[in-house]
Amino acid sequence: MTPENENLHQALSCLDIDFHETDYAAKGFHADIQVKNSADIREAAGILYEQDYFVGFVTACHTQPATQVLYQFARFDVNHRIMIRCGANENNSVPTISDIFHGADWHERETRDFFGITFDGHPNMAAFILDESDRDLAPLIKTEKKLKSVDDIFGREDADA
Amino acid sequence: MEEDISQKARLDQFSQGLKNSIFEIEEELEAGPLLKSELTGTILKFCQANSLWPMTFGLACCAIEMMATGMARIDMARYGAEVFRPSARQCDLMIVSGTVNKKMAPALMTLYEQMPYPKWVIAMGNCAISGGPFSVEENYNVIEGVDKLIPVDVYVPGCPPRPEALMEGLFKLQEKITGQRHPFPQNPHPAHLKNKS
Repeated sequence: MTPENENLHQALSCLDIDFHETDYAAKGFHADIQVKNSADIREAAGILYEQDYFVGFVTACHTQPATQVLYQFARFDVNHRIMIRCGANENNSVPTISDIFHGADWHERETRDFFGITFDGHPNMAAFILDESDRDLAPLIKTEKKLKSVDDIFGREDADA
Repeated sequence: MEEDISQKARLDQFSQGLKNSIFEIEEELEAGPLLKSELTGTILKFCQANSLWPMTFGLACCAIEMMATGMARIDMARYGAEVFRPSARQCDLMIVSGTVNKKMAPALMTLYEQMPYPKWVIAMGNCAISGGPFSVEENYNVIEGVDKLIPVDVYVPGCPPRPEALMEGLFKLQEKITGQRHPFPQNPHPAHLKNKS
């Protein structure tokens, strides 16, 4: 593990996570971190904030059984970019991190537009890119036929069974 | 969301609703001639055709070509149409240069309503004409043709159209206003003069 990954793994070890180092040249990020419980995402964001990370983007990926919400973070002082993902809970929602990282505000609204995921505690969940009449359209939700499981999309070759 | 109604039908309903709201008002206003005399009317039309003031209104990549049309190489100013105004109140030409989506449609309608009479519209590029590459089954957001919202005078096809094409659209509009192609005699190109002498 690189020293940056080592540090971050240490800092996040208090949470229930699955930390995986990835090949930056192939993936575009240094670590793939799965937060297993969506309620922990706020705490994870708090730790990242203290470690001088900034939010790159927030998006989602519609998979079986739960839609995955993806966050990418990076830092300015060293080349370290990480991808954090967590499955939405049974209400199809995750807690907001827009009060910790203000930059996530619009990204979360956009994710709400396209995937129908609500961010609990977000101050303004109004339609962002779509027209207000299309508020519940969620155009990037897959049809039953195209829907894949989490492991098919995020499964790692070297992952334990 | 109701499943029995297709996205296309939903979009059409949406644009029809917007269009109805503006044309109710327009019927009451009914733009009449500014001057009743035929000669002054003709002169006025010549003036209007040779000093079209377009709106600074770019929606997508076609706007880049529209800007190029205003710059030195093509130079719309030669035909009196260089005065891009940042306010709809000062314009008489709206060049819809790009993709009109559902969120933009009400803003576009407002701008059109704010323009004083007489006013003209050029639909520039395939998106503004018919939705272009977005006119597919899965389209949920792009209005398929700006003529579903406002009346269009000239259509300039292309993706995006070259500046020359937009100039041709401008000539067509001048022709539509006055009835002749170059209502104001142009200064011949220097190279052309040389050949003649």
